[in-house]
Amino acid sequence: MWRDIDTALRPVIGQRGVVALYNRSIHLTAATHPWLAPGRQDLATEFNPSTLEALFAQQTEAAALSCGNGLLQAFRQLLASLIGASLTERLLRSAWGPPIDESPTQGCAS
Amino acid sequence: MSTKVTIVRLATGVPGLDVVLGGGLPEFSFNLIAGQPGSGKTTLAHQIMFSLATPERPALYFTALGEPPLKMLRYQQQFDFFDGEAVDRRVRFISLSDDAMAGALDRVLQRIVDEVATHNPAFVFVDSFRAVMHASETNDPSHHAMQQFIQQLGVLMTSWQATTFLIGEYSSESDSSPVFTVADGLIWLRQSVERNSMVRKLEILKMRGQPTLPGLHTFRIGTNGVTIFASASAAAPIEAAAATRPVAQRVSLGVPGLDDMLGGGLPRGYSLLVAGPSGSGKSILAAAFLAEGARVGERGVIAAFEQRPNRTRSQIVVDLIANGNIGLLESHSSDLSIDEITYLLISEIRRLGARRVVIDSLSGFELALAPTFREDFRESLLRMVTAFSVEGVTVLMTSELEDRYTDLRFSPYGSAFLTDAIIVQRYIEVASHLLRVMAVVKVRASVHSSELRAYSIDAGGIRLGEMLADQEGLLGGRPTRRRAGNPASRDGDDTTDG
Repeated sequence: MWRDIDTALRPVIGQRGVVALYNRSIHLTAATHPWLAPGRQDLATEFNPSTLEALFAQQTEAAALSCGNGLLQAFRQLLASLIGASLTERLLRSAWGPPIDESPTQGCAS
Repeated sequence: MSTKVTIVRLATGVPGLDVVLGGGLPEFSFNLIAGQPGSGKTTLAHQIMFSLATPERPALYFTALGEPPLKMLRYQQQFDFFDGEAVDRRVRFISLSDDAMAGALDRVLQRIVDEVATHNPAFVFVDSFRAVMHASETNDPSHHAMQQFIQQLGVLMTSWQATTFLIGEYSSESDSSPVFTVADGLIWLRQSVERNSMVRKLEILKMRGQPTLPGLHTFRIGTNGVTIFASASAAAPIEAAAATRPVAQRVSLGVPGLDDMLGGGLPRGYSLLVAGPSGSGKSILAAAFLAEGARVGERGVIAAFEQRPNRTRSQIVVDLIANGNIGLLESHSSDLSIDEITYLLISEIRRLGARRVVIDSLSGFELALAPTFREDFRESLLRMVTAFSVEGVTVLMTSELEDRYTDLRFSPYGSAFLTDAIIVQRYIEVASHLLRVMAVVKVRASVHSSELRAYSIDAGGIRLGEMLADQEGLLGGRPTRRRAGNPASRDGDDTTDG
């Protein structure tokens, strides 16, 4: 999922743009799920969700699912607050699949 | 010869820009949109892009190190022209920041080549181009590398049949850059600040093969994007001027007796200046002029710069505005240009099919102008009057005139020579009463009365009275009763060139 998001957004906002949004989403979600905090990554490096995947692997399935949803939700809301819901949906269409107000995710560790 | 290439000119969709460009933007041209930060470059580029791009002829918008793309998308979507549905369909945003940050021009170029090959765009935008250049300077400071890059980009885009726009921050054109040489078109945006007003101006420094309009053209950025006000005289088709002015036809001013003084009414298409001191009835005369127009089925437009809406304006005018016989142009801002006002007035004239225009008053008009335009007020006024004459409308302008009895002046601007006809109003003192007198000073190419007539104002408007034949020295403001046998004073008769 995160790789799809990266693929969809990187051409438009650049690698740093994607990583910056991702880091901010981690920061916001880590307030309720502190174990996410190490998932942040260096702005100058290419987006790589492997650390995040490893963190999720250590959680129970239920915890991973709820947190993963929260993280995606945070990312989406962050982007929507910046460029509006319609443009967010349009840019992420290839990654999301269904429109923004339908249930977005099945799993979150991928 | 039919074998010569025909350059297609694209309509940019930016109001006024095609006129300034001399008929649109040449297809496959390589253009630079330059200007200071905040001068509207990105907005202009977006507006052109959303207007030109179609699913079959899409646009690529490359963002480099300038404005972060997220910010750009955030702010640009506030404009009406921004169509979210178009994104990824006919408009595609591509970030070059990662390549540009590495500072390698060849990588940036390669990236552009790849994306252009993939998406086959008809329009390519690179924003900000300057940032690409700056990033390269740190790695390879040679002028040569930059020149090569621009040259290659230019050749590449033209051979891909893409109309290209580079957007760059340049503070002045003396800022020499190889891109100025390579570019087919240079669109320069400026903003000048004087006192509390800020004025935006656009100049086409270069557009290969195009008869562009020279000079600085003011523009405004509103919710619908950029609107350019091409210089009034230049925008008007001059040859139409003579055709639209039937010489013999005259229009009535709607004040009994005044038409006779003008030699049978004001010739259609003329501009009339009504000059007089405060309270002399200039606006009432203007209202009568418009009301008479409405009576004979001619619509009008009034540009009011002075009075508060509906407060002191005459009821006649208020009613005419309410029933749509008169278009109202009102402005209380202080950063207008004459070209903008002319543009707005002419749009309104064309919308209504108006035949009469009132500007009440020139004094208020001057105050509404941005300070930077006040210096060449007369020139611009002449352009405006010319533009109206091309439209074939009859114009009445009022002008506040300080009552000075030692000299006979018609306006504080020396704008009297600009108009075709002049009526002057004055106060005089007779037997401890303040009386009003008016005279027709000038009607170009027409005989007119030379009488100085007293008049009064009542609920019905202006009532012309008699000549004060028994008084002399009227223009001195304090006439004396003429003694029998003393010929009428000739004062003022030969000092009419204000």
